[in-house]
Amino acid sequence: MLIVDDDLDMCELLGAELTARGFDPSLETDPGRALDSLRSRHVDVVVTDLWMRGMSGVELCERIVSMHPELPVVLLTAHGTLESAVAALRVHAFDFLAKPPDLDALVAAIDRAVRHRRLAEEVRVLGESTDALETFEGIIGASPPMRELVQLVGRVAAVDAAVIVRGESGTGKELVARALHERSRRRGAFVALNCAAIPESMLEADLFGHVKGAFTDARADRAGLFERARGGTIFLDEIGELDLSLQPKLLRALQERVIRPVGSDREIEVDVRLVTATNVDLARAVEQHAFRADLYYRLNVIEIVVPPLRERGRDVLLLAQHCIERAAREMERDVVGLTASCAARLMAYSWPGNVRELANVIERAVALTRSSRLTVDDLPAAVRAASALPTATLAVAEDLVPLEEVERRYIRRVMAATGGNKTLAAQILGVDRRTLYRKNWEERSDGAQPSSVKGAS
Amino acid sequence: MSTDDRDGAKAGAAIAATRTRAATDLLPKYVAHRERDVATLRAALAQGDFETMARIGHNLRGNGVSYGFPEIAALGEAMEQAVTARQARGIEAQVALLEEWLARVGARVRTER
Ligand SMILES: Nc1ncnc2c1ncn2[C@@H]1O[C@H](COP(=O)(O)OP(=O)(O)O)[C@@H](O)[C@H]1O
Repeated sequence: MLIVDDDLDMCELLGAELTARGFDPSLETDPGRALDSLRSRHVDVVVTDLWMRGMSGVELCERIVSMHPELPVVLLTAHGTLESAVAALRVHAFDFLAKPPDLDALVAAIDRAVRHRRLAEEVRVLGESTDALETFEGIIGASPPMRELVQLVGRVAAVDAAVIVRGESGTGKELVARALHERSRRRGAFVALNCAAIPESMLEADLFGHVKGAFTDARADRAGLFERARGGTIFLDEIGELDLSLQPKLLRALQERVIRPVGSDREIEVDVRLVTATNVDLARAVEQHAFRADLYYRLNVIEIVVPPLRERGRDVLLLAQHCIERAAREMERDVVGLTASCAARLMAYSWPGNVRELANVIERAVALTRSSRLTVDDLPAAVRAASALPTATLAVAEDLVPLEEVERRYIRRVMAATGGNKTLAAQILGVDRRTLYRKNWEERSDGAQPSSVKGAS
Repeated sequence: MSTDDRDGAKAGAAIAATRTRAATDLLPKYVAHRERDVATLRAALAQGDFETMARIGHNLRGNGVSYGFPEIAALGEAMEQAVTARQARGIEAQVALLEEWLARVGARVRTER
């Protein structure tokens, strides 16, 4: 950490306070020298005074950010005014605290900044390395639960037993089923079918095939999934939706390894491995007599649970980076990664739709973005709203609001002052008009006013 | 007990109430720096160097609060105002107050250590 204050006493006091709190700060009273020292020294965060001779903290911040975009700068000012907050905002200060800073608030801001920095570095490293990322049959994940999952899949693949894959929708259950097949000794086909997506009347023929004339549309014999997957694997998704009338037939296929095509009186031997998946609690369905117990026990020889995305930690970033690269290739867009604050939001969001939702969010963002790294603005409102670091705050006793809110207020004020003239307002604010449109639009789509007013702690 | 002593004790009590451990450790340095400020201010007054006087005034206003000396903060603020108004007389008065503070509190800090 680097502390910059041209008042030696303040510099030393801050240094001593932070040392007492376990940090190891370097001190600099000359902003120009501070800037120079950053060329050769690695620091996680810069804390600087706003009002200094030679170079103001705003200018220093601006220069640091342009030289080291991922290095967070915390600005301290004796004047906790809206104007200095906006100046801090415009030069992308990470946080902004009134002077003398409440030390707990300062430490909290520094902690956030350091975490932010680490995340930024992680994101950068990610951008360099996902191409070479080793995956297990396309399953991306380095988190402990995913490592465990992949290990289990590897072990179970070789066994021919029926497997049931349990997990929320979009967690990658089909991917797991495919991996089970690819890693098995089965050289036949992998065929997948979603039981919920097919009308019950057609499901039986789809599974077991039919003979010519079995029903109105049956103009010729047709093989079902069980035959097509001979020597391979059948994946039945949403098995809980399988109609009770079909359950005994499936059970028979498993127990006796024979099926009977619709309309046929001949039985056919089959050789398939059955992998099923469900996002409902089948045991409960059994209790409620919506699912046959004997079939359930047949299917449930081995259970593999796929964890929801929100339990996979940093995997979110690995997956996001992977999706960015794929989407950028497909759409021929020059997008290479995430900004740190975007990464922070992705990490904070709970992903009810899991990997599928993440992939959709990233695809949309890659299509919309104007920068080479996805920003918070490229995310849908719901993800953007996920509370995340950094929570920049303006620590002025009577006006404790997040920096974003300061920005909104200021924009509103400028808009009012210019009679709603966006071109003029954009000029005054020093942003381009599109940015202003977007910010304004955000304000409307978020509802009129953000409600939370946070303290600086 | 002389008036000076009582003021000194009062200042000491006020300090102890608001000053952090780190500030206490740095106190001798802080006092030494104020002595330097007095010399710098006298030279700046002689040369009409208002910029230097403004800077020191500003710094006193900030570090006075942080080190637990509200009277330093107050004289710093008064100094800044006098500089803005280009009132050499007013600045001199604040320098005199600073010297007086050094004689009173500064001496105490030194003996307490
Ligand atoms: N760990 C993962 N690594 C890479 N892609 C994944 C991962 N998990 C899921 N996906 C992708 O997310 C999407 C949804 O996965 P899917 O297997 O269809 O989920 P489910 O069957 O659980 O609803 C698919 O495009 C899949 O390729």
